[in-house]
Amino acid sequence: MNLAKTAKAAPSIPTSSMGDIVFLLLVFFMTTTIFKHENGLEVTLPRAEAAKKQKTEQLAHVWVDQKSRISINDHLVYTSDIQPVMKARLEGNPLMIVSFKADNRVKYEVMNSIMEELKAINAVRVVFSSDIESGGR
Amino acid sequence: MGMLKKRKKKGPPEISMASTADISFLLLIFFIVSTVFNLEMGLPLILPSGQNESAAQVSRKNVLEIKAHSDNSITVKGVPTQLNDIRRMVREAQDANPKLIVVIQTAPQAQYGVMIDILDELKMAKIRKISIKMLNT
Repeated sequence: MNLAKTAKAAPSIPTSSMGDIVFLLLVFFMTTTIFKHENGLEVTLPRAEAAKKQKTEQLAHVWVDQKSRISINDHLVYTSDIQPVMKARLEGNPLMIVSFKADNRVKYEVMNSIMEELKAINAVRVVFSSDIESGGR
Repeated sequence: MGMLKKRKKKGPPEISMASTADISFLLLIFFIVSTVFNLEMGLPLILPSGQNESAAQVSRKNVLEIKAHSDNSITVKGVPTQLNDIRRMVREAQDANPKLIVVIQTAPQAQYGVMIDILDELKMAKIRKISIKMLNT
């Protein structure tokens, strides 16, 4: 009987290809891993509920810490240095978005002066980087 | 002497392939753990560019002013307001006047985080026309 034949088969998962699968995953993770290359400054980002995911490829970071120090490309800069640095970047990528990684205790006048510098060179697309709101304040 | 001969006859030693899967698993776990998918959250905003500042003339009645003062208190149209009430207030104001422009005026000594809190509330209230500037005292 044909029926008896089917009952005989004991299913077993082939494990011989496991190594190949693991290798494939390994290669994927090796190629996608980016070890953090920008240190920036120590900041406590503000929290925001309305925060949206940003496309990281277009972002140029401006770090501002609690002591009002400004860092771009891992270098501490003065407010007056922002224009030339950002202008060069904007020429390289016209779709650039400036991302403010600013501490939430920074005085607003510092942020305002940075934004004035950016307005002057037409780098008008900005993102106020934030953490995701977690529950109540 | 007999024993030595026996060993030599065995030929070149083979590398055991049985453990490759284990080794690659180990590497895989390392890469999974160390991978940081570059996620960035933030509030996007487009600044007015420096060139056409004179064009931004708007009727006074379309403007809703929110001020953040140097003691981090908030006033809406001059009335002291809690942060939680802003969302409802701007929603009502926008329903009444779809042309509404919300201006956030932040004092130079106020904390940047307060401005972001207000901006977050406006974004949650789906306000499109937002302007940020420094409060001149």
